[in-house]
Amino acid sequence: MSLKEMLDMGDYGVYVWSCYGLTLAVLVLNVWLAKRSLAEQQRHARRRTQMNSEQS
Amino acid sequence: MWLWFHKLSSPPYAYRTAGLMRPWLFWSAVLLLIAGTVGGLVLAPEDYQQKDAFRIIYVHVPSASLSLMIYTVMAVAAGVGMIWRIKLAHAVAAAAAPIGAWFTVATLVTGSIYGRPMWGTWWEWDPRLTSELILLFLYLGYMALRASFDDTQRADRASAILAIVGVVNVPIVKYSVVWWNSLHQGPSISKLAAPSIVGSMLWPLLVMMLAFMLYFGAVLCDRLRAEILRRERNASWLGQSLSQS
Repeated sequence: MSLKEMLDMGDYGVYVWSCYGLTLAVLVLNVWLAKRSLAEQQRHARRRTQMNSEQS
Repeated sequence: MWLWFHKLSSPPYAYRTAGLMRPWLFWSAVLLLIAGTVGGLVLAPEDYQQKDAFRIIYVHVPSASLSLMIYTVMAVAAGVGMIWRIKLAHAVAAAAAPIGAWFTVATLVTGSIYGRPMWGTWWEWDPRLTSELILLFLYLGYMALRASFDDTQRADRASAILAIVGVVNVPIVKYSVVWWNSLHQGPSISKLAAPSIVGSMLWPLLVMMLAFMLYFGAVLCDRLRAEILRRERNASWLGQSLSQS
């Protein structure tokens, strides 16, 4: 299969590739959102434990 | 076995276990995603009827099955949390919801793009499409309900009822193409006795479905860890676990 054939996908290229692109975007976005939420909670928790240890 | 479950329901143990499992789940998902995509886009033969457009199933079907699987996981976790009063189970349900919602969106959007060349329409109020849209509203309702409570325990209880009641929609989505005359095509691989799909087209689909499940596991690990930290605000184990992560 040539590159042109791959991209064309028998005239369905725009449908096929947009579906793969959107799915990849959802996969990447979910990893990023989960990582961001974990990092944020870790930051909050670190700050809290630091404050607790300073108080005691 | 019970002992292991009991141990796993302890937040510090679950936090550490999720952290250890995450890279294994993630990288095996990435490898399988690559293999499945090559299989689906390059190696699988063209469909005699749908031509190359059929290759959309390799992202559409795994997204759809994940959207149903995640809701089931969420409802079971919420049920376990309600019956045995295990807080971690509620945390699992809360962590799973946004991931499920995203995959329901992916299912609806890829399905719509798939529908355009195959059916000549982006959307039809068909049983399969409508019940999948209701699934999205259930996810959004679950998350909105949780967000409306300041008290985590009250949020857990109220949202668990919604998750459990809403699970009735899961078999409706799954069997809608069998029960009603639907524009959506019937099942191809759930007929285990005789799948109506040839082996060279089937294996990339199965690989992709497994990859999506492992991916869900990996993302759930991160989301669950964040949810545990949010709940265990002042727990004494936090300091030690945070210095390790």
